Amino acid sequence: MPESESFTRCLSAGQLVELDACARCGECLKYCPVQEVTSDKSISPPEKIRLFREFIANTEGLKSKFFGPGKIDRRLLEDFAKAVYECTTCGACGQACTVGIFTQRLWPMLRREMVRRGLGPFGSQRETPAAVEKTGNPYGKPAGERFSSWLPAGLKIAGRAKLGYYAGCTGAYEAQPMVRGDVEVLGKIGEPFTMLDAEEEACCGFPLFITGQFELLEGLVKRLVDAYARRGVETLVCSCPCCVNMMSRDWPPFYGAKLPFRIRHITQYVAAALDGGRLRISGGTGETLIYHDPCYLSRGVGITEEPRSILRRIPGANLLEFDRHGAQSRCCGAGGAARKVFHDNAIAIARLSIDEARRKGAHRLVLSCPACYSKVGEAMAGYGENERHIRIVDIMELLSGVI
Amino acid sequence: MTGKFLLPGKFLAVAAWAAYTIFFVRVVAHVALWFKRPWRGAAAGMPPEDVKLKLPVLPVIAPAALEALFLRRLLKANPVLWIGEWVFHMSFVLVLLRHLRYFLTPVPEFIWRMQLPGRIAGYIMPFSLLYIIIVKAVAGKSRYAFGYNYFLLVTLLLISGLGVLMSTVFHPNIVAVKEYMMSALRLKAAASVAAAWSLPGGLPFLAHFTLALVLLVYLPTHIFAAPFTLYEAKKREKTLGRILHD
Repeated sequence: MPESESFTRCLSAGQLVELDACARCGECLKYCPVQEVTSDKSISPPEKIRLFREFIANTEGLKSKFFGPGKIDRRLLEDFAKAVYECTTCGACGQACTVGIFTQRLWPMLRREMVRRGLGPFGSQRETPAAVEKTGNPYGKPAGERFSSWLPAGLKIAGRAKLGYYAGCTGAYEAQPMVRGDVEVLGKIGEPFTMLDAEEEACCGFPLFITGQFELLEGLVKRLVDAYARRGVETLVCSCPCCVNMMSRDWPPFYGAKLPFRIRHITQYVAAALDGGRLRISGGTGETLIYHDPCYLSRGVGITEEPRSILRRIPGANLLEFDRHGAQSRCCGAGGAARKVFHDNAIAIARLSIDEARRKGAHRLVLSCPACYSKVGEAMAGYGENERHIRIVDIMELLSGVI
Repeated sequence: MTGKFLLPGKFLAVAAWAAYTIFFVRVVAHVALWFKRPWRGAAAGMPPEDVKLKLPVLPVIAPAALEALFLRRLLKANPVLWIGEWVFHMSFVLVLLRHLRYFLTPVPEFIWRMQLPGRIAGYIMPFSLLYIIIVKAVAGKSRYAFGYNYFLLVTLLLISGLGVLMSTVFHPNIVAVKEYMMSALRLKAAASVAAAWSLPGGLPFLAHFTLALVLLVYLPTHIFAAPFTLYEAKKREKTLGRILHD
């Protein structure tokens, strides 16, 4: 693709206005987790916006109209692409943005432009489309093993039901205690629920969307939505914040119509079951807990209260908060499909949360996202034997032990 | 004085027309680029977003306007910087309103009423800019600081400083200044040809006005783009709860 090719094809008008709105105040840097561990200003949000504006000015700006497109240094483009992919897309910069730029949506679109120009994605992200196409998951793991290692034997799964459960790839392959906790809690509530077969429950599309690789998305989304509709699902429950975000925000446009069912995060469904007396907590814990808000759950779809309402109901539990919590939460480091490509950043970011939790005296760090679960668990494993460890636990894993 | 500044007067009048043109063309080019792309949705190949996230304009516009007026997002992010920025933005608006008397005939009543507040704001503005520069410089080592921002701040500081000097020390002939503005800048032969080409106010006015034209050319785009993004951010905030709670 020639360098003079437009840089704005993947952006909406609103996003072009957002690029113009950046005041370069730099306030977002205080909240950027990648900045926190790298201190590299060249990959900061305002610098990315400034560079992208320069690319646009070079190809579609006034000067280019009069004097022809300017030359863009290939190395600069490559560095920009790396900066865009090094981001965890947590959206903390947008939450803090003094002019309200929706960065959690802007970065994936800039990534898409980089894909179009052959400058992205990076590392293992490049294999994601082929892996999803072949195995139904971004990790390239056998589809037949999706549920086998964690789905409790004897758990009743209905062929057709109003309630559907989607496990998600990261939960199924990399955070099994979390999804096991999900189905155990659902089983205890007692409402019949259905699941797709292991070969049928494919990737929700988030890893493709977030890395800017859109080609398979429409087919993937239509196949999944139709499969749940055929099973009579009216409410689809999922515990993965990235999947829930993708389903609620992006499935409708890719499906081309309103979804024939509602999407709910599992904490919403379980909190309602506790409220309605359909689920009772019989045990308790004398531990101090600290809950980490996943970015795509809190900033992404506004779920912050339900997980806390569940944790507060556990007898004896003392619930702490991170300094930055709710919509202001700090990324765990695993977001934006960057955790495997920029592994060191991800581990360093995860440790910021672990260290804060330890400092505050928490016994358990409660998570509600399989990517966080996997990465924070990995970061925890790297601490020395003499350092005080803190237990990483998923909210449903914790709850399944006290019901 | 008039003869001495005849040449700069001609030059500045032409420069002003050029600056106005550049500003206008720049704004139009940006807006034209915005409208080249679909307004909503994730653009290329993606249909519009879910209808349940749509909201009527009125319930959003008032809180968004308040947010813009009080720079509330900045207040949340950095209260120390906010004080300086808010004082600067407010005084800038008041000073602009005060300056409208040079461009309008007859001068509307509300512009006359803005003269005293505008004059006070004019004295405050340089201090607010100085405060912002210091706060940014102190935080600059650990944060993102871009030369363009300092260029704008220093330009504004010089413009406002010169403004204060003209108001307190140099006292240019206000009538002559208005005559110059009306005739030379509005391309209106309201006054004499001499008035259109000769520059009143001496060097301080020459520097003040030149820097104002530089500022116009390099005016940051967030001035006209940020109201939209603030409105959209407020709308997003209001609809966030609806995504999974219907």
